[in-house]
Amino acid sequence: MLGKQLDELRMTGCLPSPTGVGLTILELTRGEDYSLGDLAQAIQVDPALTSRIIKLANSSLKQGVESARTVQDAAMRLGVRTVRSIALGFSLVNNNRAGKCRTFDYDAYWARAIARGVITQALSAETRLGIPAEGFTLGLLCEIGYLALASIHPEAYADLLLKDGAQDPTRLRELEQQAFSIDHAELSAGMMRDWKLPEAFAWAVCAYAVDTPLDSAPSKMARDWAFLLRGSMMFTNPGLLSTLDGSPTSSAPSVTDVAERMNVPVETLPALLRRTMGEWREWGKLLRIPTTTFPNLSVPPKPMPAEPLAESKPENATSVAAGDSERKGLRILAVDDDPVALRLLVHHLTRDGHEVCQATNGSEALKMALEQSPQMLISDWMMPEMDGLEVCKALRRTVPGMAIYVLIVAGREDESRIVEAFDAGSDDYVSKPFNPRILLARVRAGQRMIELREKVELDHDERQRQMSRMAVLNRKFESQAMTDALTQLPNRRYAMDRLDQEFANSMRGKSKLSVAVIDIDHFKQVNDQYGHDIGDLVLRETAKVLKDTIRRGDVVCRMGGEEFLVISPDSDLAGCAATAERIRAAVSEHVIGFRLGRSITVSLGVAERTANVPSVDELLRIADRRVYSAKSQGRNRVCLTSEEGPSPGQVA
Amino acid sequence: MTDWQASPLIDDAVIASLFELGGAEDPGLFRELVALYLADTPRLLQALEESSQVADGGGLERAAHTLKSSSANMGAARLSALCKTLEARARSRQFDEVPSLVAEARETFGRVVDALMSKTDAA
Repeated sequence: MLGKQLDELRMTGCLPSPTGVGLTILELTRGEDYSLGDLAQAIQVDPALTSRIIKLANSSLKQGVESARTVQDAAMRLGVRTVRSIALGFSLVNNNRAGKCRTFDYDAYWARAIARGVITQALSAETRLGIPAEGFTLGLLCEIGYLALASIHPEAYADLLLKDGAQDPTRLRELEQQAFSIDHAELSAGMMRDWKLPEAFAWAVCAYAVDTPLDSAPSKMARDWAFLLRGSMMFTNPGLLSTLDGSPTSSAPSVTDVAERMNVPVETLPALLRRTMGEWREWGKLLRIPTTTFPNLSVPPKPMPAEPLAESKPENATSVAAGDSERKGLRILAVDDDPVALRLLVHHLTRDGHEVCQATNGSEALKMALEQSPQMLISDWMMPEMDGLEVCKALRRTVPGMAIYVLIVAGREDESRIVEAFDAGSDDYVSKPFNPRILLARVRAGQRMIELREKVELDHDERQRQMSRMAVLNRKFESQAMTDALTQLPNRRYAMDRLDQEFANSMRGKSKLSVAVIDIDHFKQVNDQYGHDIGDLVLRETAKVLKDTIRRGDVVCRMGGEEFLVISPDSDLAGCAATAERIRAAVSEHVIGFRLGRSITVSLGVAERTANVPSVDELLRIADRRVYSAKSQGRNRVCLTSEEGPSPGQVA
Repeated sequence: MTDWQASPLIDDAVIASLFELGGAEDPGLFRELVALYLADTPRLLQALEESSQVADGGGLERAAHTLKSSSANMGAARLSALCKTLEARARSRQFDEVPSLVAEARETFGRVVDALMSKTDAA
């Protein structure tokens, strides 16, 4: 039942999911066999993520420790798991910052998720019940089902969140079941399974919020995670938080109570709470999620009130729905030292659907612009101390400031100097006293520019993500395409690439290069007589002996059939011949005389690159001819000269 | 008689448009604007007086400029025009009539306060 529900939801393609770098990292780190280097490489594709990770690694730097400059440094310092959580969280937040469900408060959802993440992380550390970084991931994602429902059923879920009882955890799940035959907790669990997160997570997210006895948990880990998530609910009870400020309320659980139930020392609790709140704010900054009031995790997220604009202007409803319903307001910072003009400006902008913050002087404006990254700045030109153009110039010297669309409000007498405003880096101007219709038209023109720019950036991000996916795929594909499946040795393609490189190096550096071609004797007979399974076994065993016998710095590849090649950089003919002889002896001694009633042997031809050998092909041809000589001289031997003369050219 | 004397104390068309601006959605807007204006103007008048005493052309120009536009926004047409004259004098550094113009500005503001208060009472 649940499986089918989830399948159908998956088919909609609307489930929130990490994309780009986040997805790459999630896939990369599913197994255990990834390296820090792989991880760093995947992260580096995304400059924003890179800078956040480096910043985070350096944020808690102790004195005397050198600061991290590369992702690799940072990942080493933070630990692979933490980096993975950041990448996952970052990519999920980025892709789901806003959505169509009108009563779902996306910012508040993420503020909540981060709060849950940091608390679960802190409690994991304090109780030693779980790995802290895993606790963060669990906390961050444990309510992802809410987001998923809002994404899949934006309309129906918007209405559902306003119903009576939607603020009660159990009742909300019932309502969701009635409407969608699945509830947010089941959905969270299903998505976690999809992302191959630990199975214990999935059980915990279904169990913690309702009265499921923890003893029924399928594993200790599942029990512990559910226990920690319950702890996160108690911890964010506003009553408990207010006791920290010394204003206890009677209905709240006491600090002692909570400490006892969580089995942590009571005296550590207040510090723990304060620390987590600080971390929560830090994360908010890092992920650009507003963090004002610490969320209460013991109740479902509060719905946003239905849009006041639509309610208060019913007569305009049709025209709004027809034209402007898709148009979202901008985040605008309005600046004027004249409070009356500022109030009027804010009034017009707000009424046109924009979200407006205000500043009454230049330096305040600059500070707010850099902190809040509004999409547009509308500033009066003439202001005491720092005027509008100076704010603009200062902004343009910063990276976040470059992205802000700046509209300067100029007095009529300034119009002759308007070129100065453009030289200072502003995008447009309006004259004052302004006609509101003209002002709003200018703002809309700016909005088109902003949206175009953001779209280009989005496309750019998406391209970068695709490139990172390709890079990872290519790496996988390359290593597969370059490896011989049977013996796990590098294959002919790799051998030829490598040989080209080594050959060029040796020509350039006048260094030595030798090769040995190795052919298993009478291999066709083995195959015919004992079958291909035994034939394959012989190949695998031979490959293993070769690998164990070559020198460091040598490479052995399977060239196809029963033929192998050793590439021996920095070896002359004698040196390579010695290796070849060791190989010959090792194969005849070790390889699979078992039950075959015969020993397996190899014939080898060795060749060195000299001035007379102009190409890789020629080098291999010489080595091949010498293998042929070795065969014709009776096999199980190494041949160093071609069979031009009568000399047997035999070693050992 | 100079231009500022020809301007009405209050431009009723501006007041009407401010009322209209708030409309049914924001009926308190006018009251709020009046409060902002009344709270900010004394500071500007003081700046005018201080700059005039020390013949600080730049300071005089800035304060007159701001008071000119906020007064225009609030429909205080005469005070706005008076400030425009002050601004021009300050720019050309003709200070001879400035002290009397500043005194005039303060007196005019007193009458603007009364007029605006009566409008908010009516609202």
